[in-house]
Amino acid sequence: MTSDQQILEGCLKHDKLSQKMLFEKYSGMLMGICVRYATDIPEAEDILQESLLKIYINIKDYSGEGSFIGWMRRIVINTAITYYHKNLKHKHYIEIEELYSSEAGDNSIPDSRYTADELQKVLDSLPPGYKVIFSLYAIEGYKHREIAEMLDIDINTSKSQYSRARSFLRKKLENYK
Amino acid sequence: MKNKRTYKNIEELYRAKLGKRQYPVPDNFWPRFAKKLRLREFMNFRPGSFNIYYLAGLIAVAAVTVSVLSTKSKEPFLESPNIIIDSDSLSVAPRNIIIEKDNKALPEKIKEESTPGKDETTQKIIQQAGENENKGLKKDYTDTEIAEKRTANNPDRLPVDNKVAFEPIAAPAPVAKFMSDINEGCAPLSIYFKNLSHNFDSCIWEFDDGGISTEENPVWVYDEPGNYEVSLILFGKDGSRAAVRETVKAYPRPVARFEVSEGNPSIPDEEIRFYNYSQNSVAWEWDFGDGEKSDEFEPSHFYDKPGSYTVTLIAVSEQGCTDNMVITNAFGDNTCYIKFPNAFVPNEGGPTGGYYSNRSDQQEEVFHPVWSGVTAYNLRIYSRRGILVFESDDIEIGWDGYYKGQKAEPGVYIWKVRGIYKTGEPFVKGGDVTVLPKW
Repeated sequence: MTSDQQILEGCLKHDKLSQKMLFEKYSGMLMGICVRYATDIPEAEDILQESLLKIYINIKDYSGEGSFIGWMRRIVINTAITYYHKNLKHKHYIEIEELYSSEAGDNSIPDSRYTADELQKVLDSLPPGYKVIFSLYAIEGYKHREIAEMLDIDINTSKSQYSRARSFLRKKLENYK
Repeated sequence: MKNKRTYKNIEELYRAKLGKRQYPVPDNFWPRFAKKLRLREFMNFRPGSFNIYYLAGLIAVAAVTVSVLSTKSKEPFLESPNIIIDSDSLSVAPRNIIIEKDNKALPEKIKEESTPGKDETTQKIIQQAGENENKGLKKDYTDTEIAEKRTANNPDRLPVDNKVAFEPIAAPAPVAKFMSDINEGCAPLSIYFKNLSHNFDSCIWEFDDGGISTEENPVWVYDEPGNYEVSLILFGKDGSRAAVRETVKAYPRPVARFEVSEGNPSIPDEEIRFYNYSQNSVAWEWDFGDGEKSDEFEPSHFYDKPGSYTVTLIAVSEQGCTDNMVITNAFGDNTCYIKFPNAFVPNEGGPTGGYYSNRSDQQEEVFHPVWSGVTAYNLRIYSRRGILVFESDDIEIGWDGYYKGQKAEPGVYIWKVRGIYKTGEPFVKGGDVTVLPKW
């Protein structure tokens, strides 16, 4: 098995075999990110394609600091957000009424309750804006301040949208079984 | 096996389950992607590999080579009994020049085509010949000698007849030459021609669109597009003539025309479409007036804020000529206002109901606003004691000056209006109105 370092060096020389190996190794993980931001699978593939082009063409810009995977993730997320912005104007998604369910008490969720596929499905049912903010905050771990900057929205918008997305998701998950 | 792990909230659940989740990529993804990647790599400059920049370089070199070869093999386009060469012409295209000597017909003709700066030998010889002529020396060179020299230096060129004999010239012959500030452009095209000829008495310019000029350095405007052969004809002091021609091109201008869809930028997220009726154009630049631009043929645009925007379209033709069209305040008059008069005379005959026409209320018997762009409205009128004498939610209905069927006392009343303009902006206004008695 070729190490990341060797693959990286090959890709720097635009070696076709190394590029293929990089793809084999990481495309699944990167596609996993794409589906969290795209509204459907074809769009996720478009984002993946655009991201991979950026990765292969700009691989010389990867400084070597920080993990290579992190660098690729960041490119995919940025591409996904650009995509989201581009399509935002054409998607008329429905506002949902605010749902404030009480969150007191024991909310712990056992691991066995949902599979990853089920969670993804519920996440996919969110309106695109909520889906993006929830993914950025809950899964990718960005701060609201960073999200506000990335999406070019107000920090309070990010917070309120997030809390709506969250309660929406809760309700969906509770009703799921 | 039972997994005992629990998550305390949704975030943790999602992070654990989806954070590292892989999603299968379809099999045909890579072949499709690889093609795009090759193309993108090709478009990107990298010193070590063949890419579009190298290709462009190759094409440029090839183009230069081809053009050099083709100018060398071009045929002269004019033939005339006596031809002398003008070798340092100034314009882009190679040029052929004739000088006619009416009274002294030389026995033989020399045909020559000159390419600027290319044939130095010929140039030198002719310059020498010219100098000798100017000094009034005779027969320093015979044509045969010139021909021999040329043939010696340039054996593969210049088919010169051996019998050529050089005839002495008494007065210097005119040499026709001119340059223009531009030789192509967009109609109406204004060109400045500069006469660089020597040894002439007078000149005539023929501009090929029916116009002529006898000025030495004329400026000519071509109104209509087309290709024009500009001729400069010289008359020498000794009666000889010389002429030179050059082609100038006036390209047609495109016509920029567009229309704006019925949309209203006051409504958030309203898509405004632009319909392009431009002619003879290949590229377009739109300026939506809010700082956004587009180069699409028929773009659509979303305005963030309501307002009156000036939309500009620049249409560009194949030759780079431009035309533009500007629609100032493209979305009609969006100014919203509401104003009230400060006095009125109620109808003596009894309550009118307060209906009025916004345009033709000549009587001024109803207290009502003049307004534009108001969507919601509430008017209240109080007497000085604070009694509400009139209220209306309908902007079409004003106060007729009656309260409970009785004519209101003449005097000052206070009004207050609240409402919303169609831009979404709320307004609150107040003031007083004097009810005047009928004279």
